[in-house]
Amino acid sequence: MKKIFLIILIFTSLCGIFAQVRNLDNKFRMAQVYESSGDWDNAVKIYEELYAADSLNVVFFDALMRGYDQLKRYSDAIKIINTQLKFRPKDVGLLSQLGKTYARANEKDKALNAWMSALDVDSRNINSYYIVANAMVESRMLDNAIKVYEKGRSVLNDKFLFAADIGYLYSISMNYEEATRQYLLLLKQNPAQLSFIQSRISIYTGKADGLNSATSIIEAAYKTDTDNPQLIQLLAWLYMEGKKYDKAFSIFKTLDEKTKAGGREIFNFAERAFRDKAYPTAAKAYEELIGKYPKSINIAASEFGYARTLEEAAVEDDTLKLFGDLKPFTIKSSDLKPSYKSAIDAFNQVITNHPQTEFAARSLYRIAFIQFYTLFDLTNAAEALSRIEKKFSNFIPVLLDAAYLSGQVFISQGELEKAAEKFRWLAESRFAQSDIREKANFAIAETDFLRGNFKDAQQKLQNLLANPNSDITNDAIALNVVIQENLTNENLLKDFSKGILLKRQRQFSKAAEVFEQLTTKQPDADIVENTLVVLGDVYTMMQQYEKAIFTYERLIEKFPDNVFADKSQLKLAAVYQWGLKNSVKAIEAYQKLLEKYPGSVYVNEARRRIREIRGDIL
Amino acid sequence: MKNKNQMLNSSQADKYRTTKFFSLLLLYARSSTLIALRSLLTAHNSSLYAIGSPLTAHSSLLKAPRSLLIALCFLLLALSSPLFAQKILIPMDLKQSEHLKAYGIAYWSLTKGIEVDWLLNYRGGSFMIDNHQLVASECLVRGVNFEKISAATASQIYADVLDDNNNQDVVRLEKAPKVAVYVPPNVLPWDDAVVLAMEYAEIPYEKVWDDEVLKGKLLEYDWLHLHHEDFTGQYGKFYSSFSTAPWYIEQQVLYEKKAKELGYRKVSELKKAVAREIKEYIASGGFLFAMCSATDAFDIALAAENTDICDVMYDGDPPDANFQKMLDYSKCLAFENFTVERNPMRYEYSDIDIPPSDMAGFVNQETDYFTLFEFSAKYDPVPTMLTQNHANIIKGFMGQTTNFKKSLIKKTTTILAEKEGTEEVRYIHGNYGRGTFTWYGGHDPEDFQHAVGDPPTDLHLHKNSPGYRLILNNILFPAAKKKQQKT
Repeated sequence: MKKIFLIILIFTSLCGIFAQVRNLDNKFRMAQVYESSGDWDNAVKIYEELYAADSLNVVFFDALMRGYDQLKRYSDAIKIINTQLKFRPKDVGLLSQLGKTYARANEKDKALNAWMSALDVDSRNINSYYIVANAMVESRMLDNAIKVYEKGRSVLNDKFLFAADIGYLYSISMNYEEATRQYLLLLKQNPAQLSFIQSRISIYTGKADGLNSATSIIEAAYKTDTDNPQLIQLLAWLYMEGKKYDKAFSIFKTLDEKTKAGGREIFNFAERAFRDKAYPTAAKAYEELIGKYPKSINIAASEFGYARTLEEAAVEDDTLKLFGDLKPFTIKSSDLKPSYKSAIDAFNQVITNHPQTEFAARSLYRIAFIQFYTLFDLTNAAEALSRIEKKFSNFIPVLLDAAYLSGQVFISQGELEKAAEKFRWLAESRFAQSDIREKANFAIAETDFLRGNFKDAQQKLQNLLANPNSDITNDAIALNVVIQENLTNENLLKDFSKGILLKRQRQFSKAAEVFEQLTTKQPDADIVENTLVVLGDVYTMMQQYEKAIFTYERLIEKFPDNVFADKSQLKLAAVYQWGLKNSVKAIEAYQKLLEKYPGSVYVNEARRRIREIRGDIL
Repeated sequence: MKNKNQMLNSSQADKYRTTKFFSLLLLYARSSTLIALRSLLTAHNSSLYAIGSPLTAHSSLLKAPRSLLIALCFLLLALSSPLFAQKILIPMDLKQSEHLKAYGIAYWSLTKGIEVDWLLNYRGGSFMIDNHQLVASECLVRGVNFEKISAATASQIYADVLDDNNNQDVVRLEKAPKVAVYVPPNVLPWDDAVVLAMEYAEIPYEKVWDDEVLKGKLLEYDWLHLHHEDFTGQYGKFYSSFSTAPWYIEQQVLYEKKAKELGYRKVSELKKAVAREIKEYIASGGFLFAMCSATDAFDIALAAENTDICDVMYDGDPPDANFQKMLDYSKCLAFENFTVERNPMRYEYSDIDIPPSDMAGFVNQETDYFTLFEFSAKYDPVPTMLTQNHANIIKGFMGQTTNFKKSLIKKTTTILAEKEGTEEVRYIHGNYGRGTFTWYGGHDPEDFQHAVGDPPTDLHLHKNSPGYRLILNNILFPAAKKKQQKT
C-alpha cells in the first residue's frame, strides 16, 4: 500500500513538474514568436517571467539579455548580470558581457573595470585575454583591445604572444608602422610564417603611406639583423612593390649570398627588372651574375639578357611610326653608336662564350638588326646574317627572322634579285608561319616594284589583297593603288620606284633629286601626289626642314583630297615642333589638321601634342 | 606732317575715301546690331525666371532707332557670310561628336569671362558663344564640334528660340560655378559618375569632407555633389558582403575616428549632423546634386534625426525598437512615408528604391529605359535645363539606389524622368529655401550593373552619353543666374 502511495505521489509530482516545464516551454516559444516578429516589448515581458521562474536557466538568461539589448534597457541588463555574478563571480564570459553592456550604455570607465575584473579572475589564462579583447573589438574599442593583448603578453611573459592579433588591430587602425613591428615579431618567432605575414602586410602596401611605413620598419629591422633570410626576402619584396629597383637589387644580392642560391635570386630579379623596363638596374643585375657566378646555369641567358638590356636602353619609343622605320628627330646615329656599340660588344661576348647555342644565334641576329635598322651598316649586318645562315641553321626561328632581314639588307644594297631570292625561300619554307610567309610575299612584290616589274608586283599582291585579316593587307593595298593609278604612265612610275629605292638605301640627296625632277616633269601627273609625300620625308631626314615644310604644304594645297594629306599635315607640324623647335607654328599646324581633317585618325595625336606643348595637365 | 590723304594722289584718295566710308558703315552696322541683340537678350533675361512673355524683348526691338533698322538690312547683306562670323554655335544634337566635353568648353569660357548663352531645347540644348578665336581653338583642341555663324544667322536663331510658338528659350550663363564634391579621404573600391564626368569634361572641382562641412566651408561653393555616401551611418550597408574586406574595415575605423575627433559618439550621429548642415547649405542658396544611394540615404538621415536606425554592427548598439514610428518625414527634402529597411544584412536602406528582386518581371538591360519629361522652356526653365538632351529616352542603369518609388515622393518635388508605366522614377528635382536639390538614381549611366571593384568607365568610349549629359546639365545650371548666399 505504501508502495502504491509512493508511486502515485511520484507520478503526480512528476506530472506537475512536466506540466510546469511544458508551460515554461510554451511561454518561451511564444516569446520567440514575438521576438521574430520584432515585437520586443512583449517578448521581453515573457522572458522576464521565464527568468523569474528559473533564473539559473542559461537560455532564459540569454534571451532576456538579448531583449534588453534590443530595447536598450542597459541598466536592467546590468542588474541581471550582476545578479548572475553573485552565483558565478569568476565567470570571465559574464564579466566580459558586463563590460560590453556598460560600453553600450556609454559608461566606458565601468566597462573597463568590468573587463579588468574579468582578466583578474585568471590572469595566467590566455583565453581570458582573447575573450576580453574580442568584447572590446565588438564595442569598437580597438585601442583598448590592443592594450589588453599587450597586458597579456607582459603577464604571461611572452613577447611574441598575440603578435598577429595586435598587428591586425594596428593595421585596421591605420597604424602601419606598429602593425609591421608586430608582424616582424611574428616572423622572428616563426620564420615559416613568411608568406602569411606577407599577405597580412600586403593589405596596406597598396597605399603609399602603408608601403612606406612597412618598408622603413623592415629596413630598420634588417640593419640590426642582416643575416635573417626571411627578413631579406620581405624587404626585397617591399622594394619591388615600391619599384625601388636599385635597393631591391642590392637586397637580392644579399639574399642570393645568404641563401647560397648561386645567382638564381639575382637572375630572377634581373629578369623581372627587364620585364618592368628598369633597364639600368637589370643590366647591373645581369653584370653581377656574370661576374660572380660564371658557372651558373643561367649564365648564357644572363649574358644575352645583359646585351638585350643595353640594346633596349638605347631604343627610343616611336609607336606612331610617322616616318616608317626612319626616326628623323632622334639623336644622330653617330651619337647613338657608343650605346649600341656596347650592346653589340655584349652580344659578341655571348657568341664567344656560348658558341653553337641558340643564345649565340639570337645574339648574331640582334647584331644584324642593330647594324641595319639603327646604324645602317650594311656590310656588318650582312656579315652577321651570313654567319647565322652558315653556322646556326639548326635554330629555325632565328634562321627565318634572319632570312627576312637579309632580304631587307639586300634591297638596301641594291641587290634586288638576291633579296627576292631570300624572300622566296622564306615564303616557301615549311617552317614559316603564315604571317611570316605573307610578309615575305609582300616583300617579293615590293622587290618587283622596285625593279620596275609593276605587273609582276600587282599579280603577287592579288593573293595578299584577298586576305583581309592579314597584318600586311593594308601595305599591299597601298602599293597596289600606287601601281594601279600610275601604270598608264610607266616611265614616271619607274622614276618613282627608283627614288623609293634610293630612299631605302638612305641616299637621300639622290632620292630628293629624282623626286624633284619627277614633280617638274609632269607636275599634274597622279604620281606627283605620292612623290611629294616621300619627298617631304626625304627632306626631313636631310634636316632641310624648310624644304620639307614647303613640300608638305605643296602636297596639301595641290592635292587636298590626297589620302596622305592629314598625315602630311601631322608630319609638317612635327617638323615645326621637333625640327625647327617652333612651338607656336607647331600648334598652328596641329590646329590646321584638326580644322581640315576632323575625321582623321591623327586628330587625337594632334590634340595630345597641342596640349603637351601648352603644358596642360592631362 | 602730312596726313594720309595728302600723301595720296586724287584717284587713290577717292578710292581710300570710298573704302573708309564702307568700312565705317560696316562697323556701324555691326555695332548697332550687337547693341540690338544685347538689348534684346537683356530684356529677355530680366524676365527669365518670372512668369511672363518675351514680348518685352520684341517691343524693345520695335523701339529701336530707324538707323538700327537700316543697319540690320545692311547687315543681312554684308554679314551673312561666315567670313564675318559673330558667334560660335556649339550644337548639342546628333551633329555633336563630343557632347560631354562641350560642357567643359562652356565652363571654360565662363572661367575666361566669356558669357555663354544656353539655347534651351534648340538642337539638343546648344551653346552660343561670342566668336573668340580662343574659344574656337579650344573647341578644336578638345574635339568639340562647333559652327561659326554670322550675326544674321545668330539673330535668326535667337528670334526662333524666343518665338512663342517654339518650346525653346535662351539662358545666359554668367559665372563658372565653384564646384565641391563631398568625398571621403580614403580610397573606396568604386568610382563616382559625377567625378568621372567632370574630369572628362575638364571641369575643376574641390573635395570636401566632414570637417569642411561642419565648419561651414560649403558656403564657398555654388554646387555640391555627394559622392556615393551613406548618411545613415551604416557604411553603405555592405556588411553582409564586405565586412571582412580591408577597405570596409578601414572605412569603419576611419569614420569612427573622425566622429570622435569631431565630438560625436557615433558615426551615424556625425553623418546626420553633416546631412543637416548640407540641408542648411541648400536653404541658403546652394545647389545640391546626388546620385545613387546618397539620395535616399540623405533623406533617411534627416528623417531619423531623433532616432537610432543603425544595428549593432554599425554603431555598437541595436536600433531603437520603434524607430519607424519616430521618423520625421517633414525634415526630408524629397521623400515621405517610406519604411526603413530593418534587416542589417540586406543591401537596401528603405522601400524608396525598388530593388531588381522586387520588380515585376525580369530586369533586362536591353529593355531598361527611362523617359525624360518635357517642360515648358519659357515657363519652367530650370527643369528644362536639367533635362536638355539629344535623346529623351535614356538607357537605364542600376545602383544601390536605382530609382525612387513614385508614391513616396513628396508632391513638392518635380519628377524629371521616369520609367514609363511603372512606379520607378529616376530623376527628380526640388527647391528648398533659396537653393535646389537634384537627385539621379543609379550608379553609372554607361555601366548597367557597376559592381564594387569594377574598373571605372572610360568616357572616351561614351563621348555622347545622354545619361552622363544629365549630370553635366546640373553643373552648368548654377551658372544661369547669380544667387545670393548666406553671409
